[in-house]
Amino acid sequence: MKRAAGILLVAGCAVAQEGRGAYQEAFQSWRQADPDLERAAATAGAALGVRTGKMAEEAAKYTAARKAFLDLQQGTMDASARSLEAVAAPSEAPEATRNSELKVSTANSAAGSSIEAIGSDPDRGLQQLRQSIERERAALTVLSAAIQDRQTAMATATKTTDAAEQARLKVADHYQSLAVALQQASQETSRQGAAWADYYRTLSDGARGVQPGGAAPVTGVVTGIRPVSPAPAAPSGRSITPVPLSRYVGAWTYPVRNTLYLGAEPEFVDLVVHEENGQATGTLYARFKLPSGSTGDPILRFDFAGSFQNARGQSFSLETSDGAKGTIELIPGPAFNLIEVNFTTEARPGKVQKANFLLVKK
Amino acid sequence: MLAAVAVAAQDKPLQEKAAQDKPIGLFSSLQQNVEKRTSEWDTLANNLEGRIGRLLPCDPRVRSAIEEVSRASEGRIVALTEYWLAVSAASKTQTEAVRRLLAQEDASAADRKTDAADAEQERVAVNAQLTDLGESAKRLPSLAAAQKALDGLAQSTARMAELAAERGQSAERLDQELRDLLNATQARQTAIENAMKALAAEGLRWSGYYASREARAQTECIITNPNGAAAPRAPAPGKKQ
Repeated sequence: MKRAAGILLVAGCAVAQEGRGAYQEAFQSWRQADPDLERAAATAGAALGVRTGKMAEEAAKYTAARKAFLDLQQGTMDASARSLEAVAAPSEAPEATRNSELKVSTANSAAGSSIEAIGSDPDRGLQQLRQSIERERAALTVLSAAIQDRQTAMATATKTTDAAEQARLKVADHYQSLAVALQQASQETSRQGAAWADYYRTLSDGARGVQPGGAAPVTGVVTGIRPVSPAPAAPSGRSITPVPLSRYVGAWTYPVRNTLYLGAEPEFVDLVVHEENGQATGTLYARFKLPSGSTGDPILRFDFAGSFQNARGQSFSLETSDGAKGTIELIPGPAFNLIEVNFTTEARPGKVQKANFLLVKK
Repeated sequence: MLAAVAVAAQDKPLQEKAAQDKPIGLFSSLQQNVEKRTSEWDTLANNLEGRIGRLLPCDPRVRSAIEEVSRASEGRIVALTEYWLAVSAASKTQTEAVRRLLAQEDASAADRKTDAADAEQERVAVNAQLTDLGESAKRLPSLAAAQKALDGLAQSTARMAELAAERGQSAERLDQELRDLLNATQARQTAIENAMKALAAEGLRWSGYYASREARAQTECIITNPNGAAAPRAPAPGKKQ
């Protein structure tokens, strides 16, 4: 069992190395993704949204990898503490030693008395007996010394066992405190992950001039939305669709309040739609609120492309960042600055597969 | 008796058992056996002189009474040896565990530094972000909220870097504590082995004493009955004379 624990510890170290590599790689990827983001925040405007989305995704990957590494380290510390079991104290009842000494002492006294009683009696038989008793007394003398030696050895063993136990407890406590420290670091890393997502969203809003707590881009659900004055129509001759292309094209985001969705609830969404020669291309980046305790991936990112059709709802093929294919439908909303998004993708473990929500134009 | 001790000493399954079984159960069982054997020996040894004092010198029961106590003494020493072997096996197992942990910690020393360096690298990177954003926020006031959020992250990251450094220092202390523990377990192992040697020596001396006691009984028989044969062995229990 102990050997198995040892193998597990060694295996744990090897896995920890892999875990370290994963978070280091994720960190570099995050840091190199857009090093000028903050410098560009004052001038990029709505275009910063896509960049912050990408950065939020990279930050989420890094914090997840770092947390996994810290959790693994914590497991190693716990296993290390458990591998040090206490050793039983070499106990022996003190009266057992005293009884031995008493037996020897009694026998010694009896032998002495017998020798004294025989004295120098010239009887040959008695002298033989005296010699025999003297040999017995000699055996008792060396036995007494052996009992003393063992008593001393036992006392030393008890003392060293106590000292080793104290040292073991100290080490076990130390492993436990390291495990607790790593657990706290892991929890803080989780909190940081959420804080990074909030930060990038706030940064995106700030770059668009949106103040937190200020007027919401969307003032109500479908029936209560304040219509915005129509933007200029697309250049004549280019309007393929029954409504102006501007009802589809541009940067869109999930509103801060008065949200509307069906199915998976978005935490934030950034959608960018481009048009060129009647062809649509675009990217959607979203983070969803998963049920408590879910281990799924809240992040979804996909690109889509296709031709604009003479229809109100436009449907395009999409492909997610992990290769799942699907379709996205863009439906102009009840107001000029609103668009409904409806998508489905092939199933991928832990990923959001379909969603339906209303976005507001940036 | 030494043969019995030697057999016990070579009792590999017992040592393996000591390492594999739940220590409390095993040690409790061995401890109980020691107490039982010691009690048996105590009773016989304390009554020996009283028993043989009432017998004639050449009564075969004299010899058998001494041999019975001698066997009980051997039984006690064997029980004690089994107990100490189990303690020794557990001690060795713990020493090996400490060695493994020490090797693990030695191998992790560089990792600790990497961990602290990584956390520091993150702190520096976030501070650089904060500086850049501060410049942007001067030009675009709506970035103030993001600036505040990033400032919170910078503080949190700085604290994480401090904690990573503290974990590194703590691990260095752990390394020293493991070395102390290794020394302590090695000292204990030496003491246990010395105690086992002393136990074997004591067992040998008890056997020597009982042999000399039996020799004295033989002499007493010879001088009181010079024409008789040596004191015969007592009949085995259940056998008819």
